[in-house]
Amino acid sequence: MGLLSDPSISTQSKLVDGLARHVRKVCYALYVAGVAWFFCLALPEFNHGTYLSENALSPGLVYPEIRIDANRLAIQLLEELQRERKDHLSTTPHAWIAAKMNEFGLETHTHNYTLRYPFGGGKEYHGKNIYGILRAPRIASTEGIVFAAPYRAASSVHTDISASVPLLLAFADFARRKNYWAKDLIFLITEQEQLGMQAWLEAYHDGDRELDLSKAYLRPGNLPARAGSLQAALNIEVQDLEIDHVDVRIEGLNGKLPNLDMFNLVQRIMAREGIASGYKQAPRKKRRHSQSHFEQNFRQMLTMLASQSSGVPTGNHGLFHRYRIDALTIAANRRATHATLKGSPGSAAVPLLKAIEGIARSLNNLLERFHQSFFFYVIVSNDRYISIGDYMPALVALVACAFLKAYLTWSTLPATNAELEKAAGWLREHEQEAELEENLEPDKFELPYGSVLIYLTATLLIGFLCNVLPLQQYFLEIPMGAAPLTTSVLSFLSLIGFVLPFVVVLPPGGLELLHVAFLLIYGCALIVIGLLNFALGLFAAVLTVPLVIALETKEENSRSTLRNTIRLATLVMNPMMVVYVIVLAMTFYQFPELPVQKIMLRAATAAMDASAYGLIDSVIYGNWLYFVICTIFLPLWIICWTLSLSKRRDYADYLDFDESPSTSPQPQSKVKTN
Amino acid sequence: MFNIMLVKFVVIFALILASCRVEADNTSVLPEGFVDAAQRSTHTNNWAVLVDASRFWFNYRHVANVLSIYRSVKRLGIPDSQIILMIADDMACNARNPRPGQVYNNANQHINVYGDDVEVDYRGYEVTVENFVRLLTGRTQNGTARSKKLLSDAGSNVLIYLTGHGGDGFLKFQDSEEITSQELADGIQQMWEKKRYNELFFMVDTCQAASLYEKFTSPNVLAVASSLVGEDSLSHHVDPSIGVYMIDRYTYYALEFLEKVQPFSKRTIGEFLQVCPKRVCISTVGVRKDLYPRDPHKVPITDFFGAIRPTRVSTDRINVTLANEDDFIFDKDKMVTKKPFKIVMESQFPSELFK
Amino acid sequence: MDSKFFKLLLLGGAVRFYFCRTPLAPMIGNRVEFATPLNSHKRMQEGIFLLQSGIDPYLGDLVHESPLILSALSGLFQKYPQFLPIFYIILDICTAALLYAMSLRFVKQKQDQQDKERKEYAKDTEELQFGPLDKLDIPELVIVAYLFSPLTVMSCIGMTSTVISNLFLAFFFYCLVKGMLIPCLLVLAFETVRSFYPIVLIAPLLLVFSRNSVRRGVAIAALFIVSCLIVAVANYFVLNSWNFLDGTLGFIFYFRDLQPNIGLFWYFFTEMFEHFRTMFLITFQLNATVLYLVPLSIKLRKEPLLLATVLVALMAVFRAYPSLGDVGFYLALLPLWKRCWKFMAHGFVVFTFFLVTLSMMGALWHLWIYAGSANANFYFGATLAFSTGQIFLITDLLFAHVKREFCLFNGQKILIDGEEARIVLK
Repeated sequence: MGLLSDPSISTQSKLVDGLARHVRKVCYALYVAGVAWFFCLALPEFNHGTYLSENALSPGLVYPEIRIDANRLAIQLLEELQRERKDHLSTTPHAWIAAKMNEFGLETHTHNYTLRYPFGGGKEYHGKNIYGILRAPRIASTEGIVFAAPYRAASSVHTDISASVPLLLAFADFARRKNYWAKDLIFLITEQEQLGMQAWLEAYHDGDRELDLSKAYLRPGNLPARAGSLQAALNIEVQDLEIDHVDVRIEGLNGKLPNLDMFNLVQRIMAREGIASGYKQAPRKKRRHSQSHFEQNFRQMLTMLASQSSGVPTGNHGLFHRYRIDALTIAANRRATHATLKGSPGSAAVPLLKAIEGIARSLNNLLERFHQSFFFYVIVSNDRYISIGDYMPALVALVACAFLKAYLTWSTLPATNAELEKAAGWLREHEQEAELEENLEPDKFELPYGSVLIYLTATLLIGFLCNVLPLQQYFLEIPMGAAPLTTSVLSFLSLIGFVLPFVVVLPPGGLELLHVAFLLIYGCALIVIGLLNFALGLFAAVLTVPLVIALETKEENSRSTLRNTIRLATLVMNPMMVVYVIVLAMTFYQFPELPVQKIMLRAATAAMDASAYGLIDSVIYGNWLYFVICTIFLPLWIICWTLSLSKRRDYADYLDFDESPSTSPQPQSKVKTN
Repeated sequence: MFNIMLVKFVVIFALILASCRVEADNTSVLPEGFVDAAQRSTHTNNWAVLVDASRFWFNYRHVANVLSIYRSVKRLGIPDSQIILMIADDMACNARNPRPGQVYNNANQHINVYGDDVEVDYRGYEVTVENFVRLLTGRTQNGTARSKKLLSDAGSNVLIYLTGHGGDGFLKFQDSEEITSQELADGIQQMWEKKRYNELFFMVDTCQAASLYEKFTSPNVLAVASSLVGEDSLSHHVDPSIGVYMIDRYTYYALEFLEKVQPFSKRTIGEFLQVCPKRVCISTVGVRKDLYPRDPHKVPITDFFGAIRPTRVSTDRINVTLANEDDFIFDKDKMVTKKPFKIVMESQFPSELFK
Repeated sequence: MDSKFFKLLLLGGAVRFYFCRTPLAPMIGNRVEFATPLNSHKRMQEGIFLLQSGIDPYLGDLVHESPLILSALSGLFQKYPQFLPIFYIILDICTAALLYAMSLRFVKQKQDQQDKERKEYAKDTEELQFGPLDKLDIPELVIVAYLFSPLTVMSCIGMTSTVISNLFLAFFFYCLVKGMLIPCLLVLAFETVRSFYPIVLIAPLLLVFSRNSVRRGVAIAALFIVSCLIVAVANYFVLNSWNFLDGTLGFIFYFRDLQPNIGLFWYFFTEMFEHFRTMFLITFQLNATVLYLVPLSIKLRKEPLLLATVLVALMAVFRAYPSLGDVGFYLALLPLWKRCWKFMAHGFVVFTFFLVTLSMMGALWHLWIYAGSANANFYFGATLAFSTGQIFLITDLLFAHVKREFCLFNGQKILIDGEEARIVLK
């Protein structure tokens, strides 16, 4: 009850005052603690061994029944497909796939979809997926499992993964002869990478719903047949029937992950079949053993969080997550050229086929959706993970800085005019006497809530426009590529944000209040982003928290060099700059041989492309990254920039203002956006 | 001071020793005939309550367990009308079963325990703690079918077999509720008070099974459990073609034993209690005999698992007379004779009104 | 000043009107934080449709609005559905206007009272007294807090019937301050029959109107019961059946719908063993109604309006189906106690709590319902934290009031043995 009924009469607390004096030190200590905790997570004491918690899966209890004849079939199909690929250089051999599915006794259907590409005047693309349903023989079609393989045309720039189709078909042929399926199996072959999958999923779930077609960029059409609610999905990308290792890809849309049980299941079955498999599995030759455990773990953690933070799925499986279907991709990589091991080409794909069979039978055993194990985890090595309860403290410690600072800033907000003057550094010697007189009658000072609120709204409006403007019909009709269009709109709006603090100067006390509001919004934003996509939240926090801690609006206790450093840092922290720097670093890493100028130029175009892709991803797939950057980070940056500039009204102006009769917090600023 | 204490202890100790001796003497004094009489079978009919409390495909083994016992008691002569079979899930017809309509106890498919005619009395969601307790105590709801009632009496030997997932002091029913050892003990005590059994054989195959019989206080109960408190009961083996565990170890060996028992065999319950030594069971089989007055090694196994009643063939002539009313009414004078009364017929239709 | 008042009203209406036309409106109408089984617009539509079709709406389990409201709005719903948002906006603006008039009157009363007691006040307590400017400031703050609070705006654009409840409650407060007994009783009776919990507001009503006479108090209580009966009978004549009692009051009391909301009921009642349900039902309902009623009424007998504010706030926390619209209403009443604010130590903490928990609610709801990766516990955690924040706020307000009363008569700087004095609650 002590907390609820604070017995002291005065509202000033010594503890708060003491803390407020050392706010930076305390916050930096918290920051260091959070980052240190994050580093510690790579230590084996901080992470746990994986285990299967869903009893129903019972992985590995069945002996695989798939035999060499399935492998023979796969080889034969691959040869046929290679012949077909010569005729279909840039398209999918739909007829051949459909014929094969029909031949194996699947209920075969095709699915047509259209993409209306909005930029540069608008274009239309058409696509076609093929899927075959194997109905569960002794139960109603209420649940289904998807086995998907993307098809890449011969002319595609990506790695050839055409072996996945024969493998999938060979497994379908095997599966049809079995009577124990309790769920419908859907064998799906998509084209045009993630687009086809997205269209199929949309059609599967919302195909019969009336959509406003004028607004939809992707028109998924409808499906002729469905197979109940989808429980799980396995996406297969096989480069060749002779494989070296399997890379299990799990990151989905917006950093969502499949249930840890699903990953464990795949790992366990792959291990039983003797396939080298794992998360970000490296080829046999490149595997490094020199590194310490800690270093390996930490590297693994960072790569996982990095690929999660962009929110872009690492394979077609990621799109399933949006529909609450646990899915992952097993990407089997081609064995490097060697003659010695090529002794038994006739049985090369058998282990993989067996693994797929094992996974299918385990998934078949599922009684409800995956729910037992973790959805929030970080994989440190193939058999160790960090659960949400262990990694969240790192983020919480970082975010706590913002809230702590907000509280302390608030409790030291100037309450009277005199304090305000002191804070603003306007106290001059010859005015001290007058100030003393004033002190006898401390006139209570009203914080300019109204103006600050309007300023906040203005910044949020800029962020909102970033989302809306590039998609306005007026802009879309300009014959300009997506990248230049998006970039120019974004730069224009950032420029407005850049200029805003020069044009609009907040009334006295406004900056301090804005600072508090900024810290609160910043903290909330980080928490929410961290909940939805931990990786993004963490990286954003690690990057920006030091700056936020350093940021100060009071002039008295900060040196000018420090202020200028902060201003410079704020400029660099502009979301567009950050994107550019990241792209630059990646370009430099990829093409170290190029001269610096060329790298910078190339990075600039790549960054422009990245922003356009971000927008397209957000429109078509529902990726949040663009939205988050524009609607949250850009406004926050504008406020941050305002605070770092700390533009104050001239004191004389302020006095004039104060003499005016109105005491109510009237909006003083005239926001001139667009 | 210390010395006095010591002396006191020594005295008390001596007294205890003496009393023990006296007791020991008393037992040995019991007349031989009485002891023999106590060992004789006294039941007139047999009932079996067989319960599988867990559902879901991966619990195939529990269904196989209960069906194994069902098969044995039926083979040894208890009719279906006196077997109450509770099975929470249908494994034979599960879509995942590659051998539809069959449940095996063994990967080599030695015995199809599902057999030709299985009469399941409580199935699926009917298998609840409430129904089970109601069944035992005979407090079934109005309208319950006769096949769902345990119509045992003071002469019945009852076999209760439970299997499922258990813990210390409870057995889980269908992942949604559990019966505690106290509830079980209360139910059995109520059965005793209501004279619903003569002797009761309680058999349970689950993890920490021994915890379930700990709270029993009712007489004439013999209990056996597949594992002690703190131990897990383990499954016997996997059928890799189905992908599930087939049967639990304890029941597997129990079935192996029971398969060799014929209706008139001389096998005893005592032998049955040793059916699964730790070497093969891995868990320790727990037995509770303190409530059971007879020596298990003298009790034929068919006392519980069969329907063999003690019958005596007599060649003597026996007079069978039907009972008269006089046999029941002893005090004729005190009987109240009803006064004669007049019976008046009411007309069905008030026709006089219309006259 | 009057022109400013109208400007604010217009601006508030404009804000609501703008948001009504964005896709936000249907989204809010489906959010559990705003639309509960009691106040959701969809259910109102369903009820009116059933009523029009001659089917008893309370036979099913969907409609829990009182029959009078259903029949009163049925014409509007059926014939002019396009004007519904505007209708709700007008209702909300009426609420704001009533609150404004109420607070004007309240401040005036306070100032009069102060003039009488001024001699007894300690020195240096000017900032605790109602100043001359408060007559303008406080009503303005109240109206701003009502019109521009995101909670009430969202509640209005989601067309929840909380808008109607708020109007009635505002009317109740207005009559209470104005001293109009009969309308006050009637509106309270109506709200009581409609949503049960406002019955606690009989306490401030009795305190205001009985004027320390027990006989008057009993008479008013009897009158209240009679008016409740009248309202019930009026409801009865709409449908010619008493089913509505079970459909509204029974539904609230027995907590039949376990749909998640920002309250404390749903999680406990989903998790609890069924045979404890009756006990916890009574415990929770007692907690929401009479538990705090008696002590608070004794403590705050001189401040019936504060009592009413606190009761409305407690109602918003502990009722069976609370919505954020209820929270928005009592938050708008807080500026009335502006002179206590100096002693409210947790204002900022509570504000941060509200901000964090409300933003987390959205994220966790998404993770639970759509992504399927979180579960009910996460969401309940957020709502629990939100409720805790509200309780902090209420206790803070009460304690600040006690401190203010004390300091007003004893001065702000009391030194005992050279140290600052502390107030101990006994």
